[in-house]
Formats: sequence, structure tokens, C-alpha cells
Amino acid sequence: MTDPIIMIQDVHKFFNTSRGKFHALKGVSLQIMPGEVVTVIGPSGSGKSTLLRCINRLETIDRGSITVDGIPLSGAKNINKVRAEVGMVFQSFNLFPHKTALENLMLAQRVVRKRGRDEAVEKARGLLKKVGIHDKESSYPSQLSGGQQQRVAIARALAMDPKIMLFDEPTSALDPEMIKEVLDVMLELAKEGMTMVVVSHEMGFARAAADRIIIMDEGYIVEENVPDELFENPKSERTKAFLSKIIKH
Amino acid sequence: MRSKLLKLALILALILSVVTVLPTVAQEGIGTITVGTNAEYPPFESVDEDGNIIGFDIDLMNAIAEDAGFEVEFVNTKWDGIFTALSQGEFDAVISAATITEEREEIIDFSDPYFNAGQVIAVPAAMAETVSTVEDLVGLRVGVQLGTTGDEFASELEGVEVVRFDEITLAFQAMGEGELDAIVNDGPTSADIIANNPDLNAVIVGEPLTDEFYGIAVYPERTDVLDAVNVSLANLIADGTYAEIYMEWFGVEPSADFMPAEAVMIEVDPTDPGSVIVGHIATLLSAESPEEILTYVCEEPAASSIVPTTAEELAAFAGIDLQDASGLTFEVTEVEDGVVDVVPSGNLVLNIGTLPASLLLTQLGIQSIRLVQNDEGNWQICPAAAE
Amino acid sequence: MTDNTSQAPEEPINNRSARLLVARAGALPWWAFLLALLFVYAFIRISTSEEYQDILDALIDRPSATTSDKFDVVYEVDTEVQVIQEALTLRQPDGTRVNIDIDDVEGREEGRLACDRQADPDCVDQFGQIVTYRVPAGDGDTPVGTAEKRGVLAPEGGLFTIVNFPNGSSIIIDPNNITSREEGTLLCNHVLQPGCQDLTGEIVTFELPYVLKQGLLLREDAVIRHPDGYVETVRPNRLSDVETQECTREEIETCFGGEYTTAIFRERVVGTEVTSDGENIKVRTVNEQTVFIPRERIINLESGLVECDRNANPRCQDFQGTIVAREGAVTSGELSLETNRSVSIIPEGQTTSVEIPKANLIQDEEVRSPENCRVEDEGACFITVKEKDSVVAGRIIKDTDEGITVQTVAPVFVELDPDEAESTRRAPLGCALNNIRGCNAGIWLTLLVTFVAYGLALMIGLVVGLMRVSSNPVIYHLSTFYVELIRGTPLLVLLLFFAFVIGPTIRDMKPINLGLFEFSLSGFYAILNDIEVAVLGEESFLSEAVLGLAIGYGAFLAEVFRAGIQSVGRGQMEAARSLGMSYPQAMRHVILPQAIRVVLPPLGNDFIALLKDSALITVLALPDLLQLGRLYITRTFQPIPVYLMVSLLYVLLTLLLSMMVRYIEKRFKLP
Repeated sequence: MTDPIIMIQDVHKFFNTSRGKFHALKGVSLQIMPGEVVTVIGPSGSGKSTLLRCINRLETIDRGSITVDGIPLSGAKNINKVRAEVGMVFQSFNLFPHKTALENLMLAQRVVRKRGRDEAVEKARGLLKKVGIHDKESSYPSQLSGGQQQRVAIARALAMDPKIMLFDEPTSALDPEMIKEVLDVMLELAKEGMTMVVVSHEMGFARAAADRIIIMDEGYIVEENVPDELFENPKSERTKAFLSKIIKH
Repeated sequence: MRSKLLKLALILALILSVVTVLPTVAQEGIGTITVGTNAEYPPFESVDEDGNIIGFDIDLMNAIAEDAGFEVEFVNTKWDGIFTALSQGEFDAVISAATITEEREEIIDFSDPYFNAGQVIAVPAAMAETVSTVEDLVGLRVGVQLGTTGDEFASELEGVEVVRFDEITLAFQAMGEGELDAIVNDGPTSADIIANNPDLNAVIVGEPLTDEFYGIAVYPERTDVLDAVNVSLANLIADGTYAEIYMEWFGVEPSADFMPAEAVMIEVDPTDPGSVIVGHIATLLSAESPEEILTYVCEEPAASSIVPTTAEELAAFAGIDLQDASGLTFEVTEVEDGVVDVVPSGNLVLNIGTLPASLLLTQLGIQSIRLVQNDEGNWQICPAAAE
Repeated sequence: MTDNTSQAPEEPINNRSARLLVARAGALPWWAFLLALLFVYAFIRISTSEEYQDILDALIDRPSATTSDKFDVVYEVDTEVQVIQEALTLRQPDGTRVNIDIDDVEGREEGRLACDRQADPDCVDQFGQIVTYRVPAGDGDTPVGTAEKRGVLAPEGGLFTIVNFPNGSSIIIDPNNITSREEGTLLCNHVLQPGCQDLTGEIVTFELPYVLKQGLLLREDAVIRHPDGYVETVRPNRLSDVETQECTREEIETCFGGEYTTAIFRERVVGTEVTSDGENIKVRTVNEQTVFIPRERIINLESGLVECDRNANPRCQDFQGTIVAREGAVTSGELSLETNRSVSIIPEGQTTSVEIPKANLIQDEEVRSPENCRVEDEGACFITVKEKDSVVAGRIIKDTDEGITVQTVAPVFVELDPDEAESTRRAPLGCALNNIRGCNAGIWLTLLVTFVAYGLALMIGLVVGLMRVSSNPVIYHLSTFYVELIRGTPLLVLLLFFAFVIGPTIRDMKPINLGLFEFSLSGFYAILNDIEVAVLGEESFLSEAVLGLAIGYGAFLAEVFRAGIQSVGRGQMEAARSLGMSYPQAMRHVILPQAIRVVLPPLGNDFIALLKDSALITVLALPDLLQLGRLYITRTFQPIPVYLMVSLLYVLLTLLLSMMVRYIEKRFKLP
């Protein structure tokens, strides 16, 4: 019996807004096992992105605890070390515009993992090949399409050999024709056994790759189940309502 | 009848009064002139707490204007470029402790001198012992005001680092901070700054380095202003007004050039005519040059009824105790009726205390002794001035 | 990838470059042509006008290719001299001056000399060094002591005893005061009074009763004689190790009064250091003066004794040289100025005038056209003048077909042993390629200050800018305080504050003891001074000016950097942090490189602004471009061409700098 690689326990998060305190996460608890692929879905404002960003402490929590790979995040002395093990892919890609695709992949390897130049280049090339854009290694992000950029972003995160990959609506900013190429990469990744937490609207991916789907609404986890069960027999009313809205006809 | 006469008288009176007034009304005057000054140079010109421009120059200019019959409007302006502005007619005149120099005279006109200042050296009190002459400035950092005669003077010294400030007050401050070793600037202003800023702990050392005359600078096209200024300036000096203004700002009398000319009297003890020569000699010994010996007014009474032509006669005449007159010869010439010059030459050994006994009268500037016959026909002794 | 077979034939190189040039020129905006025209015009005016060239020369510190005049120096060397006399000039209470010999000084102290109120009720007491000295007692005085003096008894003194001194003075004494007599000769002072008569006869030593008087010290002088015979008057504080010995005229030629006094004189060598090769320092103390005489104006050439110019070189010796009688020069041109003393003429073909004193002109040979014209007349007044024949004496150093060059004053070089000479001043002099440190004024100083101050400002701005985006409240508020305070202070005020408040305060600060080492701000200040000396050759307000400008602009640059950093999207920082990079690493590799592109234009702007603001340093007495211009104006009263030139130079510098900035922007541009 292995330990969960991510343990989220009774997490509360408040945001200070002009209208007072906003309770974004209201006692969320979740456990993710190594190699699991978990998709989190829900309406906007449900707190799913917030939850994701708490896992690598881009957001701090106000109550509760999160433990990643055995390390509790709140007291972590060196959060950078934890983050190196947790890769993140953003909705707006966030590639470094002043570096080529290859350099994007190399930077963190050299600066954080302290790898030598040749080693970093080799790994970078290998990853770019894996995501299917090795011919664009000298291109700058401004010269790449959205889908290509996102694939580079995924490769960049993978270059750090993380144990966990977090995806924050990775395809929401892409044109429809480019969504597939990114999802294919993610599917491949899931098959290889990467622990993935994906916030997304892509039901297709969820059905195909997710071990579990989490439904969130208004800061709570409303339902969690394996995909087939969830879609066939949603338990909660809210789940039903939500699903009816997003299921494509 | 009566009323007609009265009327006539009234009309006559009216005409007369108008006629006498007319000339003054019709007279052309200079009117109002603009006078530029850099009011950052006490005590010549500065700005007081209420924002008024005050100073020696200001009072003098106002006095000149009053005497000449025109009005003055003062304009406070920067020093640097003031002559260029004047040469282009931006002012009618400039009074600003400005030294008369040839270069400046090429583009503007200067009035007669109205002040004699010299550049002096000012140093921190601690350095007063080692620095007091121009030679001592070698190797030092010397502060000056840009574009002044002090600047020119210092720039010509070899081995001196000249540091040029826009305002001389900044230079004094820098010296107080130890950033400068000395300052070369006009004497009166330096003295004023030092007196008003005791925490600067500065002193003026040595003698004035130069002789500098201040003049009132006038726009060359306004010859009328120049003439009026010169005339009035002379008037003010002659009637003592200048001396009054000077005394008010500097606390002492001005030098003889700026005092009303007067004959210098020599006190003579009526019972001891010999004292004339003694007193004269004492004065002469303290005189620095023959030029300082001015005309004398002789005093009563007569000492002799004869003109001395021998040393013994002269000694008896003057009541001097003669020791050895063997070296003395006389030549008597009549200048005019009742006035003769007795020209001695040679050595006269006198007993007058322990003063150096061997005197050459010519060494004292006495080239002749003038004897004047008074009303009673007696001769009295008046040492004539050296030529 | 495949060759395009229907490719056009290769254009000849010339045509292609010409087309490119035309294309480039065509792309330029219209005002570029105007600027170019302006510069061409300015260039032509400057290169043809002597006046403008002279102004330009002055503004760029009169550079030359090479110079041997490297340093303006004052060295002090100890030499042995003979002390002839020491005298003091005092001011007496009644205002008159008196000279006394140092032997008559009883004492001195600082104090106040009360003036004679009876003689002059308005007189002012004086402060300074009060000297108490001995004066022979007169009738009615009560002597306070006696001093021993020596003189020669005058023969046949008659009723009175007269003693003569070698300096020519005499005195009547009381014969009872004579303490000794002997036959002999008292030597007079041949140095100060050449041709004086030694006194032979009965030498008496007597006691002279004296009273004390007081006076205010005005100056103190010592007359010394160098081994080469040169006599000068110096300050006694430069003499040390004064020793007196007895002498006779046979032993020492300059013996007088029976005594010979020597001292070590701290001699000053003032001049231009010409070479210093470690072995010897060679200083030129007197500059060469030469006169060129065209052959046609030589009337007569003959050898003779040349009286050397004592004004230029007080120690010179007359020498056998050549005396040249030359015909007066003829000058023809337009009369530009006439005063009582001189005329100024612009010679034909030239643009600047020459001034000739009227005393040098031959009146009859003056020709004016139109006749009797004056400067004020309408139209130009042309004049031809002939100077009087004059004599030039010296050594002929150059003889060509065109004429001869006569050296009227020979340069004097003094060699010093570096171990024995102490330098009190050694400032770089000529600006030249082989003496770059001499180029420390005018445009060079402006450039130096601009670049150094901006470099510092960049560093300050970057650090403070980073502080301004920090989440640490202490750091944030500290930096905000600095920015608001400094931005609100006018730059001029800041400069004055640094020079007159901060500078002296730091300099006088005691070192702070921090346990392990002493933290000394004043030591830091001393280092700054050393840098000043190393760079400029002398101390000045330079470091305060540079610091003031740097800190002043640092506040502005901090805001520029802050805006640049904040302009980089949040996502970039998040992406970098999520990859495991620390905050500093993220800043360095991700944020700042992107921020640079944003901040470059405003940074370039501020750089150019600093160049123009550098003119403010003139208020700290630094000889930058503007101050040299103003100085030139005060000497020549020509504001228009000078300010035109100054503005032109500033514009030129600005253009160059902005071209440089644009180039840097291009380099950093992202594809």
C-alpha cells in the first residue's frame, strides 16, 4: 500500500477583495496516489484553479494542510525544491519570450538542476522530439502557434523530471484545431504513468485518461468518481446540472 | 479804475509766475534710468530681509542721481554677462563694485573712479601664519568669483589651482569647509563677509595685492548720463557727502582721494618756532612718499626780521641746537616780493634727541625752506613742499 | 531549395550600393535633411573662421597630438643659502609703518593692538600678531634695558659721540655706555649695497638703552643669497637650521659685519614638468619666448651684449647674443576698434583683429581710406599703419630663407632628484593624446561626469527599483522614501547639499567601530579624494558632483526599472517559480531580461537628460563645457559665437548618445 503523493486535508482559502473576504476553498480534502490522473472540473469560480495552484504553493492556504511527496507545504523550508518536483502547465503557456524553444527547456535544468550544458541540450531535444516539435527548437515563442507553444510548455515542465504534473486549463486558450495535438501529448504522458492533476473542460480527455474526476462547485468538492460512473450515474444534483450544461451533443 | 489796475497786476503776476516756472518745466532732463547691479556683494549691494536692494553703491548712486536731477531704477541681475548686457543697452548704467579695466572699457564707458579697492587674500585663521603674500599661494587651491578681476589675477599666477565659483559667498563657504586653501577677492566685500560670518573663522592677510578702482559703467550711447554722473560724483566728494556715505558703510573715513581737499595744517607752538622744523621732520619721517607732503599753512609769529643766510642764523631763527654746520651751504632766492626760498644743501648735524644725527635735508624732502614776510615785515619759516 | 533558373543577372556592386543608399536616404524623415544641412553649415563656418576655431579649441581644452608639458608642478627642494637680513614690517598704533630688524625683536604674540585714541578718536584696534621691539631710548624715556651694539666711532665727533654703522646710519651715544674698544674694520653689506664702504677705525661695543614699542606684524621678509649669487627676498618660515659663524672678508667674499649666516631654504621650483624618468625630474621654470623676423624686415644684425629680460627670469645673466634691428611691420586692413591707447585692425584675408598700441606706430605713415575715417563712420574704415622700427635681442635659433627666429628668453630647466624633492602640486597640464589625464576640463569633463554618474545611477536605480517591488515592508518603504525624497529635490539643490553639507559631515565623521573592523565613512571619503587625484590630478568637488547626479537620477531610474519589472506579466514569474527557480534566479534569468527591453527607451532618455543636467556642476566650480564657455566670454565679451558653439556641442553629444542608445535597443530587440 503506497502513500498518496498528494494529500490535501480540509483546506480553506480566503481571498481579500474590495468587497471583503472571499472564501474560495471551503474545506477541501483530496488524496492523489502516484501515477493517478485526476481531472478537476466545475464552473468558473468553483475554486478548481485555486486548488491546483495551492498544490505547488503558488497560492498559500489559510487553514488545513497540503502534503506533497511527503513534504508538508506550509512549513517547507525550501519550497523551490518541492516545486522542482511539481511541473505546471498554464492556460496562457507562459513561455519565456526572450528564449528559443530549446533555451526555454534548458534554463531551469541548468539553473535549478545544475545540469551541464550538453546534458541539458540533449534532454531538451529529446523532449521536443517527444512532443513533436523538434524542428522548431530554434524558434522563439512568438514564431510558434498556440498548440506548438503549449507543447513546448509541457516539454519544459517535463525537462525537470517532475514527479507530478499540474495542468491549469491547458487547452482553454487554444483554437479548436490545435487542441488535439496537446491532448495527445497529455494522453501519452498519462499512459506513461505520470501523476497528473488536470483542471480542464475537455471531457474527452477525462473519459479517456482520467482515473478519477473531481467535480467542484463554490469551493467544495461536490462529487468524485471514476469517469464512467460519474457520467452514467451522477449522484449529486449539482453534478447533474453541471454535466447537462457541458456535455456536448 | 482800481479794479482795472488790480486786474492788470494780477495778470502780470500770473505771467511772471508762469514765466519763472516755464524754464524748469521746459528743461530737458535725463528722466529715469535703469541701473543694473548684482545684489549679492555686500556691503556694496545686497538684498535685505524685506527684499530691498541696499548697499554703498546704492546709496551713492541715489545721491548722484539726486545731485544731478534724475531718477534711478535698480535691476538686480547676474554678474556674469552684466557688461555684455550693458553694452547692448539693456541697462543705462551698472553700479556693481566693478573694477575699471581696459577690456571692459572697450565695450562700455566708465565714470571717474568712485572707490579704491584692492584684491586681498583671505585664508582660514589657522593658515594666517603661513600665508600672507602672493608667493605663499603657490601650490594652494585658491577660490575666486568667475569673471572678476580676482579671477584674472589668480589665473595668471603659476603653480596655483584656481577654483571658479559663480558666487563668492559659495567660495567662502567652501573655504570654511576646508575645500579651499585661500580666496582672492575684493577687500571690502571679503571683509564684510568675514565680519558677518564669524563661524567661517577666516581672516584677511597681508597687504592689498592690487590697486583697483571701481567705476560706474555706462551704456556708451548715454553720454549724457556719463557726464552727469562724473559731475555729480565730483560734487559729492567735494562737499563731503561721499565721505558721509562711506563712513556709514565702512565705519572709517575714505582715503584722501575721496575727501574734500583741504590744506594740512601743522601745529606750531608760538613760543618755539624751532618746533616747526621738528614737527615737520616728524611728519616727514612718517610720510611714505614726497607726494604726501602737502602745502602748509604757516602760523604766527615771526621768528626773525632777517632772512637767514648762514647755518647759524638758520639755527637761531629756528631755535635749533646746532652741532656741526660745516657741511651746510645756503642759497637764497627771492620768489616774489615778501617770499624767499632758502635752499640748503649738505649735512646738518642736529641735536634733536637721539634721532639719527646725520641728516640730509634733501633726504627729508625739504628742498628749500620758504620764508614768508608777514604783515609786520617779519620773516616766518614755512618749509616748502618737495617738488 | 531548388535553384531558381530564371534568376535575374547579378547587378554590378556600385549600382546596387547606390540604390541601397538612395533607398536608405529616401527613408529618412524630412527633418533629418534639415539637421544635416545645419551641421554642414556649422562645419563650414567653423573650419573657415579663426574665431570659432579658437572658441572650439577652448571648449575642448585645447588638445594637441602630443605634448611634453605634462604637469603643472610645484616642487620643494632644500638648498643651502646665506641669510643676509631679516626684517619685519610693522604697523604702529598711529597707523604708520615701520621696518625693524629681527635682532631688535623682543617678543611676539597674538593679540590686539590698541590704537592711539588721543591722536584719532575714531581709530580701530587691530588684531593680529603683536611684535614687541626695541627702540633706542629718547630724551624723557625711561629705558627698560640695554642692548649691545657695535659700530665704528666717528672721528672728531665734537661735543657728541657719534657712532657709524656699516649700513650707513649713525647714532649719538653716551660715551659712558661704551664697553670695549678696538681697532679694526667692520665690513659693510656688499650684497645689499654693492660699492659700499667698509668702516675702518675704532670699533666700539656699547650698551644702547632701549624702550619697547609694539606694532602689528604686516609682513616678515628675509633676504637670502643663493650660491650662484642670486639674491631674493623670501618668507622666513621657509628657512630652517639657521647658523651664524664669524668670518672675514678673505675667507668669505660676502662676509659682512663679521658674521656669516647660513640656513636651509625650502626652495620652490614652480613650472612645467617636462620629463620624469625616475632618475631625474626636469622642470621648466621659465618658458621660451621667440620672435620671428621676416628677412625683408631685417635692417641690421650685429653681435653684442644682450641684457636679459629680468621680468621673465629674475636669475638670468646678460649674455653675448645678436641684436637685430628690424623694420616696423606694416598692417593693412579694416579698423575695428580705436581707443586712446591702441588700434585694432582686421588684416586683409583674416577674420580676427590684431591690436597695436598707438605708441608703436609712426604717425606720419598712417593712411586711412576714406580719409580721416573713424570706426563709427558709416561703411568700413580701412587703415594702413606702420610700426616703428624696433630692436629684438637674443639668440638666433633658426635661420631660413624666410627669416630668422630670435630667442629672446631662453627656457630654464631645473633638474631635481626625485628622492629629495617634495611635490606640493602636480596637476596634469596639457591635454594631448600622450597625456590623457590633462584632458580634464570642458567637453571631456562633461562626458566623464555624465558617463560615470549615469553608470552609478543605473546601479542605484536597479537596486532601488527591485526594492520597490519587494513584498518586504521595510525594504519597500525605505526605497519609497528615497524615491519620493530625492525626486522632490531640485538637482541643483542636491548638488549643493552634497558639496556643502554631506561632504564635510562625512569627512569629519569619526570611524565607527563595528567590532571586527572599523567602518569609516571618512575613510571612504578619503578614497574618493584619492580617485579624484588619480583621475583629475587634483582634488575638487568632482566626487560630490558625480554622487549628487547619480543619486538624483537614481531615483528616477528606480521608477523606470520598477515599471519595467512590473510590465512583465505575472505569468512569467509564476512559470519560473513553478519550475523551481528561486526569486533571485527568476529575476535574473526571466524577468529582468524582459524588463530591459521595456526600460531601454526611457533609460536612453534619462541618459541624454543627464548629459544636459551635467551643466549644473558648474555651480560647484567644476570646469565643464559650460563653465569654459562662460569663462571665455568674460575674457572676450563675445557671448554670441561662444554660446552658439556650446549649444552646438551639446546637441552633437546628444545626437551621438541617442544614436548609441538606438543601436543598443536594436541589439536587444526580440525577433
